[in-house]
Amino acid sequence: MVEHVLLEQHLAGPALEVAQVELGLAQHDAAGADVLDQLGRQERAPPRNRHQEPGDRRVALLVEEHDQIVDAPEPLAVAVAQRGADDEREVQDGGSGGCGGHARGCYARGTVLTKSPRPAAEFRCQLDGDGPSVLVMDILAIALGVLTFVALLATIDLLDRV
Amino acid sequence: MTQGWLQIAFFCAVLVACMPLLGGYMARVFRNETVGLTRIVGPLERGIYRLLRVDASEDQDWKGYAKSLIVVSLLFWIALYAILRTQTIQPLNPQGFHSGTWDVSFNTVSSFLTNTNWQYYGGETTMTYFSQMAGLAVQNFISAAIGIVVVVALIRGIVARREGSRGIGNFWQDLTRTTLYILLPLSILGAVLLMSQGVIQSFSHYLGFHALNGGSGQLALGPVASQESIKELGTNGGGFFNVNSAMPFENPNTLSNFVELFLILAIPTSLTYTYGRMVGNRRQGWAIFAAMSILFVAAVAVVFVAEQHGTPAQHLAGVNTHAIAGSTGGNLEGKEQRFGIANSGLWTAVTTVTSCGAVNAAFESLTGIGGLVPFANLSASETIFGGVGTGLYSMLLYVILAVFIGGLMVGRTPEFLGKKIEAREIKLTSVGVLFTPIAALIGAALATGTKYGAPSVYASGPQGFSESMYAYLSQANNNGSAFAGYTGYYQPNPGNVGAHGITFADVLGGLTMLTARYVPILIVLAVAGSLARKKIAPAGLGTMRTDNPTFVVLLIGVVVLVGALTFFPALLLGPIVQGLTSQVF
Repeated sequence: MVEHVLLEQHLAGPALEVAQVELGLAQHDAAGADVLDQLGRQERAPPRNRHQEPGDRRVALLVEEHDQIVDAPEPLAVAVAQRGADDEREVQDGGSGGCGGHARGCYARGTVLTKSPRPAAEFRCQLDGDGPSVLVMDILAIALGVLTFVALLATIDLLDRV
Repeated sequence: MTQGWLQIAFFCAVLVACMPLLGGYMARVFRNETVGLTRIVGPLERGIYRLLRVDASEDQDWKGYAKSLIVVSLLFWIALYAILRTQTIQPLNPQGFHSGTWDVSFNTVSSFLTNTNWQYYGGETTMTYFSQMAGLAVQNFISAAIGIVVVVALIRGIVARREGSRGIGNFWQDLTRTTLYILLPLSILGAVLLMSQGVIQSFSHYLGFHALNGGSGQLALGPVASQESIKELGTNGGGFFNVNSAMPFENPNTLSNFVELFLILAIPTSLTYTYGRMVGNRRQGWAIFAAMSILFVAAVAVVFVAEQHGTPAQHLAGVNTHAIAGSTGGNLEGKEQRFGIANSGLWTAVTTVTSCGAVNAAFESLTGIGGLVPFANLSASETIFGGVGTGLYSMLLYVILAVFIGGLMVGRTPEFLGKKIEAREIKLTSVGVLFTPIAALIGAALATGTKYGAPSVYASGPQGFSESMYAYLSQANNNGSAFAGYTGYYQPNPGNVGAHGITFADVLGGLTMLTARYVPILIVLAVAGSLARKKIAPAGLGTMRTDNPTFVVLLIGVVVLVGALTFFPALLLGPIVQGLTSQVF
């Protein structure tokens, strides 16, 4: 089992993480590291230590918008026009049609964007790749939730027969 | 180190001193007696019943109670999903955040609904103030209240005196009274206390600033104190900020740390006293409290001593791990200097014996032995105080199991508080005790045994296995703490734009949390209904007492044995293998 886990780790996981960390460090250097230390959220440590925050959530750095778009490693940077349909979908998430009136947390049209690292294709679930629209996925997610609770309601009668 | 022990002892003493006060108050609330708050809250309570068209005086049987609980949970699940997926059109969104992806929203909704508060996201870069307050904080109240009402229903089933009785209370009344009389006032009090110590409460836009080195950044703000209080009180644990209670805006100093620790354990400990009062024998409550306390103190002692001792790497490098002026010494990696070893170790034990999961230090930076403590605590399936309500009802299932085993040992029909424990109760109890471990192990097996789990894991070898194992152990136990390294969300920019969920981890985790929360709840309610129908037989010479030290030892033995038998093979593959090798993973 240990060997099995090791083999898997040599494939997609660590590579993605390293790529993500490199991207984060590039942003970090551009933004000014001490700012982040004061936010108490992200350390300046090398990639192996990056995950040592208590919650370990993969979030990017809270830096100014322009810091998100410069100096990204080439393989991870794409232009808006070149983004895949799935990425467009995420930008339009929530039905706002993109940035709308919001000034922060949005991309400006025509800028070079940092594309989020994704699992390699062989590790991606069917539902995680290109395909159904966000609305369809929302309906499926709600259906899955409702189905779970319907199954729980059925469990009540099942338990009554024990 | 002596100072650390004194701090821990003082904390425990305050906690025990408050138990009769809060436990007695809760017993009165659950008996529908008039309490001091009735004048203020009573009209609101009656208004809610009128609005819901509920006859609060009507007793429900266990099936009716369970159906009401499931329907309410489903409605809140849908409502929270809708909130999290419509962030762009919400008020109180000064940062202009978009919604998280559908899959991470599925996970988050299931997480907060089940009192788990497992977070693949970072709050300050993902959630609007509206989502935090109207979505997540509301669920912090409701999920905590649901845990409490289930144990109250079980206690009512145990003490029902009339043969053939079916009623175990009214779900709507229990939910309303628990929220209005217990959670709301205590959380307001807690929030005020935390604000007095510097926990922020703000609707302001994040503050931009320029650093001395010329860089710029933003200072995340938000309505933190109001959420922080119920986060701890309801043993929810989901942080407003990514680093949870290690963040100074959530937990600025030692006193706020003390208050938060107190809030986490206040209700789980006091409920044992409530139980004693409601069954008419306080020794029953103290016996359960004693069993829980022994396991808890052992956990605190192990993690504190291990962290104070430091890591082998520190010793090999010749680093001084002794306390010096201004530092507690020990293994301070991943810990806040303002809390030191004792308060970090105490918090680690408190947050994993309960289902809280909030953190003020990094678990992955714990020493080998220290890191084994969260694993061991979660392996006990919430029986050591556990979540609000869930801890006591989980322990009561183990009590029934211990009574059955004890009955087998002395060759008599097992009885518990005058009620015969028969085949139906044992079948239900066995499934209830084993369901959470099974859910955790299946989740971990799928995550490590299929290729879809790989993108979520950071480390390699046994450490990677530990990360996966802990992730599903935590989610199944509705704890929510993380051993770091396991992810279900890539978020390259604040505000969710360009983010991607890892569907496998998000959906599997969501389903694990939902089933591991609600199936045991239904089983507990079924046991309550079953016990309610039985008449109470007077105790005889052959009746095994459940309020003496012998039973406490038996109960501890059963908890440890079940935990060890179910999780030892899995722990062997992770932390134990790692501890036996000299390789760094």
